[in-house]
Amino acid sequence: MLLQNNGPFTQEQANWLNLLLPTLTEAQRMWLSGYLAGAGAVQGGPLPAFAALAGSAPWAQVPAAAFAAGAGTREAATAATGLAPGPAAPAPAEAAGAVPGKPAEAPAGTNGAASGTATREATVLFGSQSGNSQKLAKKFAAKLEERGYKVALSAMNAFKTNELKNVRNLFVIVSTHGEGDPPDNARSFYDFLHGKRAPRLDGVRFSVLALGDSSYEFFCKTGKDFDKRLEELGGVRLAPRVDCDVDFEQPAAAWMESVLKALEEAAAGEASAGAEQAARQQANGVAATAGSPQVMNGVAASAAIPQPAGSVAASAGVPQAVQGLAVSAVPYPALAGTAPALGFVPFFPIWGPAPGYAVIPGWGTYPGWAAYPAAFPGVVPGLAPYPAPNAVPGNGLANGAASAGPGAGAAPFAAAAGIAPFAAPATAPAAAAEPSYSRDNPFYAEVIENLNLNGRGSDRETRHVELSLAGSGLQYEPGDCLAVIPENRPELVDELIREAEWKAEEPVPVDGTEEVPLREALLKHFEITVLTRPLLEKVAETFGTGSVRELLAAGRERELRDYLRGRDLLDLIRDHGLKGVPARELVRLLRKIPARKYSIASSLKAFPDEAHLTVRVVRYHAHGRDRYGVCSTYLAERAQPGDTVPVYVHHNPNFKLPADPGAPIVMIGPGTGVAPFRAFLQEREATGAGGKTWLFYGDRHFRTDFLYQTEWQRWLKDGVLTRMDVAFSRDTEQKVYVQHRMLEQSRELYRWLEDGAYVYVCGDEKNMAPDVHAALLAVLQKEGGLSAEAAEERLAELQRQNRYQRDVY
Amino acid sequence: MAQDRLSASQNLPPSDVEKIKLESNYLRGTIPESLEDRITGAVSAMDDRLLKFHGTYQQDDRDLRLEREKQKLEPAYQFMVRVRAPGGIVTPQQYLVLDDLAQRYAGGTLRLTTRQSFQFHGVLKWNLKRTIREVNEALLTTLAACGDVNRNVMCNPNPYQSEVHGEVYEWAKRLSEHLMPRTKAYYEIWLDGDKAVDSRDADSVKNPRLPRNPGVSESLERKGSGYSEDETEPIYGPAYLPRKFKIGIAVPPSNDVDVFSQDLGFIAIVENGKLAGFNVAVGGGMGMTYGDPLTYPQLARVIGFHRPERIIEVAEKVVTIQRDYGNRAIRKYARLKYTIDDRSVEWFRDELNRRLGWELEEPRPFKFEHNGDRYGWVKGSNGKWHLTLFIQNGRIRDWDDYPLMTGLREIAKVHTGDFRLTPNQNLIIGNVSPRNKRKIEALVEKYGLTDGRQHSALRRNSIACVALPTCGLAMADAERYLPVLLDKLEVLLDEVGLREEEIVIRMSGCPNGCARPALAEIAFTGKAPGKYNLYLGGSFTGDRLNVLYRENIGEAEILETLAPIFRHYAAERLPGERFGDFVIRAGYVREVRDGRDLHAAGQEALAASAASAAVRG
Repeated sequence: MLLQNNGPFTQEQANWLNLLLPTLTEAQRMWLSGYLAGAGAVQGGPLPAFAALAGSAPWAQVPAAAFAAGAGTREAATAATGLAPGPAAPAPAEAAGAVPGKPAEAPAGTNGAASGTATREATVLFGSQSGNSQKLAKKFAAKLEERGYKVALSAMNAFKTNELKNVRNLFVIVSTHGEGDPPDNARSFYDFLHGKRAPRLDGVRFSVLALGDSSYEFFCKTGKDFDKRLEELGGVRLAPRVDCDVDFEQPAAAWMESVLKALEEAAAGEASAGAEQAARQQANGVAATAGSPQVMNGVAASAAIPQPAGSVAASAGVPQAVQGLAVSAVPYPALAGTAPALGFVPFFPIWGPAPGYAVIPGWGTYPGWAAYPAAFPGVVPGLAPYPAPNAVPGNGLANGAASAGPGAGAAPFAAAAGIAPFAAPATAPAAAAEPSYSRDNPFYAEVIENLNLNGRGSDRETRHVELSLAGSGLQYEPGDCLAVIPENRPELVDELIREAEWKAEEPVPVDGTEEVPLREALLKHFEITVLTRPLLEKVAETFGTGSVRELLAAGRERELRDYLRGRDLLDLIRDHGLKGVPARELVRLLRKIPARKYSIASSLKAFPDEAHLTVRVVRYHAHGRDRYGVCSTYLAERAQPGDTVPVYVHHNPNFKLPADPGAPIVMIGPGTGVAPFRAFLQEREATGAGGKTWLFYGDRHFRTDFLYQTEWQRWLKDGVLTRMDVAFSRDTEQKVYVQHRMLEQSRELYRWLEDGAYVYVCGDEKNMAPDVHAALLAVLQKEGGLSAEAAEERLAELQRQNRYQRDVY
Repeated sequence: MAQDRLSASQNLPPSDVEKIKLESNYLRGTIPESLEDRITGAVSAMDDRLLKFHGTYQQDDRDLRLEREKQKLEPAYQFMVRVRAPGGIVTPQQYLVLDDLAQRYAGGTLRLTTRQSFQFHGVLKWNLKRTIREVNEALLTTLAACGDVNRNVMCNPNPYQSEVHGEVYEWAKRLSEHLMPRTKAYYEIWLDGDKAVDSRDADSVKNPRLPRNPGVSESLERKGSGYSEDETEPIYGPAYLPRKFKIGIAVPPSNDVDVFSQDLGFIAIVENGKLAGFNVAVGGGMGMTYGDPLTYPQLARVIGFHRPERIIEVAEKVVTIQRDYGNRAIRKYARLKYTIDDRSVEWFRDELNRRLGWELEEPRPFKFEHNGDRYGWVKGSNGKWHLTLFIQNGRIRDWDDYPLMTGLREIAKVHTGDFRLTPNQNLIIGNVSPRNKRKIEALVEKYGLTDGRQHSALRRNSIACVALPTCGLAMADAERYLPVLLDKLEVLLDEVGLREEEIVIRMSGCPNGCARPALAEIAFTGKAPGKYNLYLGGSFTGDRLNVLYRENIGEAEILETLAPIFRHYAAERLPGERFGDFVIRAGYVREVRDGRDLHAAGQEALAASAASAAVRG
């Protein structure tokens, strides 16, 4: 084993490596690759490993011990565990919510056995334009199945990327087109894997078969890219990539053989490793069954190691990491904390025994955690799963303390130290109280994705906004809302300042005492787009404005209402001669800018640490000016990926999936009303709930306005969605709405109701909700033979039973 | 890779499409259900295959594909609807119906195809039935405009010799009707016709008769014409043909139908002003698959002559041979040209004679002079006038400065003759009475319609297929790009004084050959967006295959490559020497008249051009 070329290394590094590599035993090589992969997973870089190897730092003893352990001595393994006795142990243990007690129930060796089965799984992904790759992928999948592998075969665009965390053996068969382009059905996956949201794939074994045509300049480029990228993400190349020219059969067959051979060899290696593990667990019986607390002790141990002042800096550094800044910005001493984390390396079953293995059984008790650490959001660089200090500059430590409670001191450190995997899974309530984010103390969520769901040619714009909740500890359930605190439109603020003849920099009070420049205050703190009677009253009172007072006079309510509708502060100032009134006095009268609540369109079970929103952008013309919905245009125009948006969760207990996963549900959600139902179906898919599901959806045009169309299609295909009826109002001469589809299906709908279906309605309150209500009554009357009153009573009864829930706005 | 097509397909099961056809219950599938499905603008994969037989292809706007995928929207599915008319002749009333449908359902544009058909693009699933029904109400059809059946029968729309043309056209119509599928599915699905009785008995449903595999079928010969017990498709049987099948009839001296590109070509032999009969040519075809030398464009081979009234019989027997021997396992090897080349032309002639029960006569002499169109007004022998208009790439629409579609509509409103589509995507206002001629001329003037005279002769002899963004097979633009490239080539030609030199130039977005590129003097087939293979050496009469000269080149290289050849041609051509002939004499490529020789010739040309590049370097 020698480096064939320098690769990413300098000549000097390559020389060192070449001196070392040939001396390694098989076990050492395995250990080392796991070690590096694990270190990379934790810190996104090789620093801890080299720090350890260099032995030049005062804290080097810890990694050094771990490294010594890596040499395969049993003592060392014990030593790693032996680092446990830390006084600080309880805090992180609680904070992490590691199911106490449970580990003891985990039979020794379970994990080994489980991992053994798990590796008999293989995922074959293809990207194919003409069908060749697909054909080869099918063929290869069949070969794998012959050998007893459970194979997931999928086109790349049909593959759910959040499944990546469960993948052990990944085989990519992909062609290249045009100027080195991926095939269409590989494009989205290609972009995902090459983007910043790509998960670590540490320890994932992979191999790539590339198809191409050597008459093109970028021969097999897509395959080469995948090959490189999978390695970068931590994958381990099981067999070298093969690049096929147009005559691909032979080389493809050769590739398949080499992969199968390598798989068999790896499996053989694992079998013996597995046996060894089992033996070790027996030997380390106490430590092993002690489970999680031991793990926590291990963590605590590192915290207990005398730290330079840097440990404080380390926790302060966390928000930076959370914000996706360079990981190297974390103060160096913090890396000491990575040492115990390295103990997880052997958790990758394929790497066999290594130090600290004794802690493993505790993991085995979480069925959902059966995968390797990369599955944990915490190890994805830039995403911290622990309730970490909020990343608002200047706000971080305070928030962190507030949110993490008594464990705060240790917790941020733990996060910084990269022990993120210990954080509670997103769906389990954290032991520490759920962070109390609010209007006044929002969490600044990073925008991960922001796209228009309406196709070209649509007269509407609906944003799909994905926000990262990583590091917030925020929890929600399908049906809950996310409140977004918007900023006012800069153009409007500037026009207002100009019109009122104010000065943008003039300090004005916000929050009682604090003063900020006027422009900022109007942008971020005050509502300027809505006029209310109380505001006008205060204006009249404060400035003695006669015309406003007249408008408020008794008997002119209707005029007042007409005036208030669709006008804003700028109108008020223009229309009523308020130009030149002191800014300080006026802003005192203004309301704080309210948060807007959006039904969350995702489930944490499908997208841990994310919340997706579906936002219809409001723009219209009124009273001689273009008007813009405050929050929707804020999200649409000024919340680009990488920006942060202040948010908090607004729980909605009255819009919840039935507790019984087998209960049928009928969802009626035209337009953006469909948002929570995307969350419902994600949840039902993730939990494997078996109940029937029926979605009524509608919008204007099929071609451009079918929100999340391909997702519903996939769910219909997979059976997660049992049926779907759609109504597109502007595609036909006669306008058709969801209630018409309900009436068309009245018999079947009634049958579902009789079968105990829960009915959910989300969306427009003014027209849709009453129409749908009337349609439900009509169905009850027609199919149930009920009188109008009886139907009303039946619907009210359903409402009392929580079987008729609405989220309308 | 297998060395030959027969062994490559030996022992393979029939392809998926064969299965779909057999299980479709004579092309019904689940088309009505697919049309009703409101969740998708597409049809099921099976119905997608079957719809072709009904004259429509599912496509999507490829310009939007990636953008929509990101937006979580399915591709912008839409349908191409092809209207067939034998010989490409429609009445002005029919034209007005097509024009109206195009305005309502197809984005205000119509295309004239290289096979004398009309095409709508961009028809949404919800409008498909209405579109097809209204086409039929105008006494036109879309049935078998695509699919594994005989397609639209092409016929020279010759306006010069009207009597002979009339007679040939009648045969084209009868051929077309005779080879039309007999299934009632079309009427049931689109025209709300009565559901025909399912003619398949229970036995045939359970045990559908698979067409023979190539390797097998030679030993297990069919009796008679086969499938005779099956009333539904007496000629095709339940699995129809292994691939598409194309027929064209040429009337010398014009080879505008490119008779040698057809699976089955007929060459009208006119003796003493009368139609004496037809020479039969078999096994032509344009398509190939990149990277598979077992595929290639091929010229149809002339195998005999027969009297006019035998034409139906001959065509049917040729079709049945292909039905029985065509490759059912590997679709790209399933065209008649390979069925013949895998055996021999002699074998084919013998088999045909045997099935006919009589022998074809020796071919009669004929002479083609060109395969392009003659533009402008001509007077036919019946005293009527005919105006051939230049329609660039067959695209009819209104441009801001060129209201072509409006102009043709206004002409259709007053015209009393007919409209004839040429095989070169142009349009003839045919059979104009002398009284009406002035009226038509005024409209031509008013709307700026053109006989192409202001364009270079190169442009007048150009063809491009539709390609991107609608065609699912396209690898590069054709219709959208050829006009742009021609602008630049015209500059080169101007420099060397060749603007009025007629050169046949064609561009296809893929190697499947809709623009019949393999016969052009200069041809391009798309490899990737902006990249093309360049072929040289076809003839002006369409009787020679062109040869790959440069591979996978972009515009700059195209111009760089052609400029010196144009100069060379201008300087050293012999009197009357055509460009395609010159490049062969000058040694750029060698002459190829058999597709099996094409890859070798291409490799030689590429090697030579690489060597000369090395010398220059």
